[in-house]
Amino acid sequence: MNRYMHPANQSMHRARQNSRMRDIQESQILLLELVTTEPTILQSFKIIESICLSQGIFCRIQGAEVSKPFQRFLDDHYLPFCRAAIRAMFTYGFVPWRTRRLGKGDEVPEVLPPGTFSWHTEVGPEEQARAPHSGHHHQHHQKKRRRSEPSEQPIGLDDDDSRLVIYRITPSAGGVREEDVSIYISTPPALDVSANSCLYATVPSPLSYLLTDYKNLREAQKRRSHADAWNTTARIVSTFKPSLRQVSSWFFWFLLF
Amino acid sequence: MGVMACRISACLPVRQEDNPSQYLMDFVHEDHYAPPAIGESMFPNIQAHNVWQREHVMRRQIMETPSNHHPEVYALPRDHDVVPQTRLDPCEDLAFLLDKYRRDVSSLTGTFFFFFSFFLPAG
Repeated sequence: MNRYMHPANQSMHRARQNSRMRDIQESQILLLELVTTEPTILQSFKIIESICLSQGIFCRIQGAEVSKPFQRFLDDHYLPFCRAAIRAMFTYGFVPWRTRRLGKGDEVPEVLPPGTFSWHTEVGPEEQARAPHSGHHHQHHQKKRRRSEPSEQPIGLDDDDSRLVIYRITPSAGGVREEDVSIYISTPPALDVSANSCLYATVPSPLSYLLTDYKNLREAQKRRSHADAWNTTARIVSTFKPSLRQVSSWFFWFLLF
Repeated sequence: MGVMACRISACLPVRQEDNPSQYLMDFVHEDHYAPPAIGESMFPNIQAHNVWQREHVMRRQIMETPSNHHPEVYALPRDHDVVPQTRLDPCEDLAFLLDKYRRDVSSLTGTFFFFFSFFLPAG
């Protein structure tokens, strides 16, 4: 916030920021509800999965087909990972994933489930370092990024660090840390395109346009249900019109004498 | 959801001349809902100026009929009348909103809209 701003403008700016943060929180809940329970979205995901993954995953190692146990291992662990990755691409615009260890000691990739983290976009670390006093309200916190290709990059740098805008996630479940999670970007991030919108500020997502319509549709369905409940419930409405004529005459004589 | 068949009819007994010195707003005080004292008539005539007695007279006349479907009987306080219930008509066009939503979903995910028109009920 500009410290030379007029106090009235400062309070208005603060109220707008609070309103925006509440909208972002609400939009995140709406988006996760949408992609986990809404039938139309789930039907779309099913169609895309059936197009992309109905034949399974075929893998060759140095030109040779893999063994049947390894193929079964791929079907058991990598096929669900690909399904979750497709949904994450549409939900967040990126795939947040980490590795987990099986009981036999093998490591398999896992997409972070919905509801276990929050996310936002901000200026990338290199651009942030080039303009440290730009006055932008996003503060980049340095972290140890997990490197996707350790052999090609110097320590502490990532391919995405040179982007002008990057995705950042904040894990909120279990003991997962941000540096444990890798991000594969499928939709290039944008920076605050919904700021000061007359509709809603939303989390960055390829499906963010749907959120307002989805909310309006759900509210309209609720109002229709309430109206049906009102119209089909027996109740009696009465009016009360007191007959004051005789009272007034009685009071008139009382006052007269 | 079952739709309840409801028909409201009102019985307006002929009142004797109002006595302004009493019971003008008999419904506002709980004493007037009290049962009659011992020794008084349990079922006085319909013009009795007591809400509790008046309701019992009407309820007895209706409940003593041989039927399995007895109506609900309410005795309105004096100077109250039954008015027709307001019917709520929501103004949103749900079919339009749902159609727009499905088209937006199909556009954003790259799936064809006619998939949904086959699989999901309209409106």
